[in-house]
Amino acid sequence: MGRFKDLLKVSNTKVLLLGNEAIARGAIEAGVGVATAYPGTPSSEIVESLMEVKDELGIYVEWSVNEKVAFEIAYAAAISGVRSLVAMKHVGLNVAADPFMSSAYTGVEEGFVVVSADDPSMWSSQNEQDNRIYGVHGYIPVFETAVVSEVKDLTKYLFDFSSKHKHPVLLRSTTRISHTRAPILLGEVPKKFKTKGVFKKDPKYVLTPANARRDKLAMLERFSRIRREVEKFPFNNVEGSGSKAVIASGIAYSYVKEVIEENNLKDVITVKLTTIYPLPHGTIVNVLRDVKEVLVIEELEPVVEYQVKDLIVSEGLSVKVHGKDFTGLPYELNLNRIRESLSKFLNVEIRTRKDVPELRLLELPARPPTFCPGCPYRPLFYAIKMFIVSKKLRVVTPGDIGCYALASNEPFKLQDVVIEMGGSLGVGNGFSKVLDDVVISFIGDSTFFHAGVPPLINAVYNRSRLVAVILDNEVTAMTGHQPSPASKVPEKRRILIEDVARGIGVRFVKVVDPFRIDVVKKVLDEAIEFTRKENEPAVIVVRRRCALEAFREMRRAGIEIPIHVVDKDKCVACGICYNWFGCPAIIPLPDGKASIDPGLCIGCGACVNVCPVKAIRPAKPYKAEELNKYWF
Amino acid sequence: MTLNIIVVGVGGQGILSLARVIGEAVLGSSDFNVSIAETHGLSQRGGSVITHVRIGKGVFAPTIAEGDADIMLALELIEASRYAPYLRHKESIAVIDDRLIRPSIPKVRLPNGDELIKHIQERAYKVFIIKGFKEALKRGSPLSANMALFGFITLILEKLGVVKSEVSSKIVSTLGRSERVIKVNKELYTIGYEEATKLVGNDVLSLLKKRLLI
Repeated sequence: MGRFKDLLKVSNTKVLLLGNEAIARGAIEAGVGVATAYPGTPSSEIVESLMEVKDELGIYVEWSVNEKVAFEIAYAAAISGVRSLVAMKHVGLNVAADPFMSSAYTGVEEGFVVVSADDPSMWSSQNEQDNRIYGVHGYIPVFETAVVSEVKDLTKYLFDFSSKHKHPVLLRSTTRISHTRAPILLGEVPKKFKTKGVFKKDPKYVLTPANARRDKLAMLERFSRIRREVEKFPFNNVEGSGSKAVIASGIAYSYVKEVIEENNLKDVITVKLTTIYPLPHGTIVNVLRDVKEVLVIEELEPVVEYQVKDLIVSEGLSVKVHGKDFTGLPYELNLNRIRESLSKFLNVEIRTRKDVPELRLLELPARPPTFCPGCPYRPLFYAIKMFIVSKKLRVVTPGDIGCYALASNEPFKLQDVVIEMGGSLGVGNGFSKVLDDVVISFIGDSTFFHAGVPPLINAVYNRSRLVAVILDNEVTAMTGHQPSPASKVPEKRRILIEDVARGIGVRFVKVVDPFRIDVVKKVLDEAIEFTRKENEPAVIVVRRRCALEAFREMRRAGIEIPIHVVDKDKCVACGICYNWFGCPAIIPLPDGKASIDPGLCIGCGACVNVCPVKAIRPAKPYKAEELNKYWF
Repeated sequence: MTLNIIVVGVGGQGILSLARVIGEAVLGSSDFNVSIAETHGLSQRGGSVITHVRIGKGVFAPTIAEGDADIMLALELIEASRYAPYLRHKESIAVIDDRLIRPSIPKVRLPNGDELIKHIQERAYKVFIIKGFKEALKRGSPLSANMALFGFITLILEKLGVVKSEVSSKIVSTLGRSERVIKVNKELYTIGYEEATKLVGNDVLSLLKKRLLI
């Protein structure tokens, strides 16, 4: 299986690419010069792929500190005549919404593609907001691929489209596009990439009121040209004939097409719709003139449905519109949902093969995601939980977005509010004003740099009594180990979190190793005492690298991993290690004593300090110092 | 029209890799279309994972609906049971690694392995149990367990004219960071392939063939 990089020399061949890799390839074939992102599932592999080939192509690619900055960098390129792409997960566009809105007013000089990867069904997100609405809100045209295998060519086409209209475009992906592998026919990689541009100074870029008023008119003018242009958009299509029509928007088309073919459904027109906003009015009106009923199928909000209803009213047509009333609103689509919707709409019998009802369902234990074996966050949360329990403290623990959000589950239950990036500190500020509880906010290194610095400044300035526990595993772990400013990366300037905290005026700043459970408890005690006495925030930086990263490097270096074992004679079957420490590698035997699964243990040794009778030891002696090099 | 394969297990067991090698083997062997819908991010951290592999002349929808899966490849017993409702009732097969991983929840009550298998047998036409994990652990590379399932499915897809086994074994030889792991991967692949040769009968093959032809 080749890497993305190896494909640069390949063209005119079908290869299996992840949707996100296909978007990256489309950008390359279009001659992208600058690409930026802040990682976030399901968007991360777009810029990850471009990162892999940036040196070979001589283009500029960066992981920015957050989506707003990523957007601004790509925007600066586009207004200087360099083609650019910025990618983010759906909620990232909330962070970048400010420059997004303004970018439509100024327009751009060269192709500017904003990719929003939405997450219907919330596989890896806090909500399932439909970012197509951002396009409607901001006069930025919205496009969605109708089949995964077209997304590469659509991306490429959108660069030309954006260049032609000198206007940003929004490519909306979803989890099932971004994370589906499909055969993609590779096109040519350009010989040369334009990475340097010229910025032509113009008052239109200065959004003071007088200029912005002029820009608004120019923007509306550009937008009406775009409205006309989508009428002949090559990725739209009208298929079949009949007395009823289905408008299948974006990836919904893939499901509709399959159900129509599977059941050999006739007497129905299908509109394959890639241009979501604005709609191709002429095309749709032509279809609607000849039918009595139309069903709009789209994932999440009724963005197309509302536009179709608007069109019908303004054209004076008489067509009954169905949409969310048939398909339901929340969560991603699937074939059974579409089978049921089409069955109802077309009045035909379509069998869905859902679970046969008379079969009993077995009651199974849930398997929520959990910290990996070796994760430095496990001993940290264990230590803090033990401290809180032993001191009988009344504590509230706002949490944040990252692997540590998994501490919301048993056995820790130490993430009381998790709503968005940086929220642990912002909400923590608020709790400290209205609650008498001890406030402990948890935030990771990448999230801290992304959105945690302003609320920490606020805590200093407005004197919020909170303990900020900043978990520094030196990487953005959850999304696949992209670097953060806390990472040691050649040619980048690493920023130490403790320096930032001191620099903005935090007077209590300590750095601890989470594997040292007693030290963590002691420092936490001091920090709480400090916040009580001084009515100011305290910062504890918890530093140890992500275990997946550390052990990957150890394995590469050929170091033998010290698998641990339980001494059965010493073990007293207290259950602390498998119930309250919760490492997946430690399992109970029928007599309640612990045992370590050699298929899961990665040899971190964190459990050694947890066992009250010292029954856990490495299977073979090893040199801890040699391993520590990789941990820090 | 399409052959639907779900690949399930616990995040970290090599589910994505297994799904991907199946896809690469199909693309490298025949003109069948293939699509793989993966699960990334949060659920990857030791959670329950399902990946959808679809093979056919025309494949459109990225995911497999409940009741539509023809084959389940499972790396873990509880997860196999959890996703059993995806199986096409009595017209599907399940190939399951005999491995049970305890969810790390305090005081969790573990279901009985035999009962889990029975639950799947009630829904599938046939269930095959293999011992990939045990063999992989014995050889010092527990993560190679997925290769046994790759060997197993390769034999089935080969008989259906979708995959060539030489393409699959070539893919296996490119996986793994060290010579030692590559060696174990190859051994596990062979174990799975040979198991399938012994266990998969014509009844199963004609059942699955039907799916590709409809």
